[in-house]
Amino acid sequence: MAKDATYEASYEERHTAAALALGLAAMTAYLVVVTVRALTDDAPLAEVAWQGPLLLCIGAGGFLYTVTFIALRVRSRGHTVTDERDDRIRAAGEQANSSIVGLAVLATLVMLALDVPVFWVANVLLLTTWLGTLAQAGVVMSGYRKGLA
Amino acid sequence: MGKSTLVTNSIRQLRFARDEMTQAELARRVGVTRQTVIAIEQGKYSPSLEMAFQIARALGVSLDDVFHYPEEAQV
Repeated sequence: MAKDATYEASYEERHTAAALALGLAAMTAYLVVVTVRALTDDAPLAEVAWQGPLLLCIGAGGFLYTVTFIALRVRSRGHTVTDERDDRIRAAGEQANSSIVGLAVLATLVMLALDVPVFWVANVLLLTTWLGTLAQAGVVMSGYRKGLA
Repeated sequence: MGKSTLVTNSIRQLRFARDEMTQAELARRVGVTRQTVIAIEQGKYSPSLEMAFQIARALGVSLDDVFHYPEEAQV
C-alpha cells in the first residue's frame, strides 16, 4: 500500500487550538481576579473594579495571540496552504459564533433598556462573545477531527 | 458536523495502483492539503465536484472510478 506519513495537524487546526487555549486562559484569569477582588473587598460583585482586569486580559490576550500567530506562521512556513475544506470548516465555525454573538447583542440592548448596572452589561457581553468564540473553535476543531461530510 | 456521507471512494486503492502515489503527492497535484486528502479517503469530507474531478484527473481515471454512490440511496 502507498506509504503515507502519519497524521499531522494542519496549520489552521493548530491556529484554532492555540486561539482556544489563549481564550480559555485569558477568561479564566479575568474571572479569577474579579472573583478574588469581590471576596477580598467584601463588596457586591457589581461594585468590583473590573475595568482594569478586563482591559489587561484583552490586551495581554491580544498580544499573546499575535505572538503565537506569528510563531505558527514562521514554523509552518510553506505549509500554510488552505483549501475548500478549510473554508467550509471556517464558515461552519463562523456560523456558530454569529448566532451566539447575535444573542449577546440582543441581551446587551435589553439590559441597557432596563438600566442594568454597567458591570453586568459589560460582563454578559464579554461572556457571551467569549462563548461564541468557544463555540466557533469547538465547531472548527470538531470539523477537523471528526469531519465535515 | 461529523455527518456521515453515503459517498465512498477508492482513492487509496487508486493511489496504490498508480506507482504507490503518496497522499502528499496527490495533495500537491490537486492543490489541497494532505489533511484534506486524508479526510476524503476516510469519508470525513465530501469534496466539491470540481475537486472530485481534479482528484480523478490526478489519478488518471474517470470520476466514476474514484467516487461511488450506492444504487439503493438514489431517489
